[in-house]
Amino acid sequence: MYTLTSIVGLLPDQISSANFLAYLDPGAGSMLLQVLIAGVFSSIFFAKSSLTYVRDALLAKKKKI
Amino acid sequence: MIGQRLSATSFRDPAGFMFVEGGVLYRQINKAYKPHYETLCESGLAEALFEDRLLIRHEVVGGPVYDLRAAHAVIRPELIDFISFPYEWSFSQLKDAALTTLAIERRALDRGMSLKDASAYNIQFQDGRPILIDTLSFEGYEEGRPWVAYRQFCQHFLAPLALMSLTDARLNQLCRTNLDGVPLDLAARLLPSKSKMRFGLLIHLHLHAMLQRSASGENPSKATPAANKKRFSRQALLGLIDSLESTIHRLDRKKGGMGWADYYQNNTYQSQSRDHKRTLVSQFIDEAGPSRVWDLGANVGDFSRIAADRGIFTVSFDIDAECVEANYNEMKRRNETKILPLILDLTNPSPASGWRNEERPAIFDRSRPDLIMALALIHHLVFTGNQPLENVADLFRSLAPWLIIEFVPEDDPQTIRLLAPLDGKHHEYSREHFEECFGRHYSIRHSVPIEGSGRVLYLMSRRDVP
Repeated sequence: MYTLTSIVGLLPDQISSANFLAYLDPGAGSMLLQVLIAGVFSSIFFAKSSLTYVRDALLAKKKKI
Repeated sequence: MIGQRLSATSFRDPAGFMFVEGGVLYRQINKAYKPHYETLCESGLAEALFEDRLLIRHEVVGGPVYDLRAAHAVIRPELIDFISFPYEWSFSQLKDAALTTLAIERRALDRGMSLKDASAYNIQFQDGRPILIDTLSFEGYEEGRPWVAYRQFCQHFLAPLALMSLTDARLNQLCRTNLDGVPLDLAARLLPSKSKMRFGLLIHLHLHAMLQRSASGENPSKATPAANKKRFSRQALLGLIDSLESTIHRLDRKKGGMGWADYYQNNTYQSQSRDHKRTLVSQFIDEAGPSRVWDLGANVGDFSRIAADRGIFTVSFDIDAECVEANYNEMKRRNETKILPLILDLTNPSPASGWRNEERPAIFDRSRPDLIMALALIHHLVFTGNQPLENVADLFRSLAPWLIIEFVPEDDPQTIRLLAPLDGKHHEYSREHFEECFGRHYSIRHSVPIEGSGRVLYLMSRRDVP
C-alpha cells in the first residue's frame, strides 16, 4: 500500500508552519497535486501567454500596414 | 434578536451568515472577515464584478445586526428570483456555472484576491445568467499558496460535468446525494478508461483522486512543505485556472434524455391546434395577471415564453434533461432574462437535505408561484406517475392560486399510447372526474376546447381567490 510520503518522499523535517486558514478542508492530496505539477501549469500558461502576445503583436502590425 | 431568523443555509463559513428580519434578507459580515471585505471593496473587485453581473450586488446597511459582538458590517444583497441547485441544472447550465466560477477567480487574482471556496451552490441563475451570490467567498491572495478551493471546484463542477459528458447525462443526480460534490474517487471509477487520454481529466480527476486517497488523514499543511509552497507561483495558479477552463470547454453534452425535446417538431397532431392553444394560454395569463409562473412539464419552454415575454418571471420545469438543455440554449440565444429552465420530476421533487434537512430546502419550499401551467401533463401524471387525479389537484392547490391546465381525453393519441401497456389498470380518468377533483379546490373560470383536438384548456382560480 502506497502512502503519501512514500509517493512523493516528503520527510517530517521538511514540514514547517505553512499557514492554512481555509474554513474548508482544502484536502492534503489536492494541495500536494497543485504543488507537484506547478511547473507544468506554469510552463503551459507561459507558452500560451507568449503565443497570444506574439499573435496579437503580429495582428496589430498587419492592421497598421 | 426578536423577529430575527438565522438562515439555515449559510452556517459553514465563519466569515458571516445570512439572517432574515421583517421579511428582508441580510448578511452579517463578522469582524474576522473585515480585512478581506475591505480588500474586496477597496481593490475595486466588487464594483467590477457587480458591473459585469458576476457577483450579486449588495448595499451596506446600518442595521439590523444579528450578533453585535461578532459583527463588522451588515449588507443587504439583491434577491435571487428562484434558488436552484446543481442537480436541477442541465449540462450547459452546470458548465456555464463552472466557467463563471473560474472567470471570477481570474478577476479576483487580477485584484490581489482569490476564491476561498468554489461551491456550485454559490452560483445561481439570475436574469438568465450565472452569478456568484456569496459575497464572502473572497480572501486576500497569498503568493505561493495553492488554490484552497481546487478540491471543491473539481468535486462540484468538473467531476459531474465529466460524468455527464463521458458516462451518462443523468449522473448530475449524484450531486443530490453528495452535497459537497461528487467524490473524486467515485468519479474516477465511473468514468470510462478513455477519459485518461485527456490531459485535463487525467490530472484533475484521476491523479487528483489517487493523491486524495494516498493523502487521506494527512494535514494539508504537511503535504505542502514550505520549500514546495514557494514553487506554486501566481503564474502556476493562472495556469491551473487555464487548464481547468480548457478541460471544461472540451467537455460536450452527451445526448440521451427521454425523447421529449423534439416532441413539438414531430407531433403533427399538436401543430394543428397549437396556435389556438397559444392564443388561449395568452388570454388566460392576462386574466390571471401573475407575477411569477411555474410551467410544469414545460418541454422546451415554448409556452413558458408566452409568460416570460410579458416580463413575468417564469420557471420552466421539465423531467427530461434534454428538454431543459434545449430550453436553456434557446434562452441564451434569445438573451432572455425572465425564464429559468430547470429539471424537475414532479413524482420525486428535489427534497430537503443537508444539516437538519434545512441546508438545502426542498424545491417547493424555496418559492411559490402565482400561476401554475400544466399543459399536456395530466395524463402523464396519472398513467405514468400512477397519481390519482385527487392527488394532482391537491398538489397544484398547495402551490399556487391560479392554474392553467390542459385536459387530455382518454381517446387522445398520446393517452392511448400511454394506456396501451396498462391493460385498463389505472386510476379513474375522465373529464367529469377531472372537473370533480379540481372543482373541490378551484373555481373553473374558463374551459375551452382546443380547436382540432379533443383537448380542453382550463383557467381555474383557487377558492380563496376573490
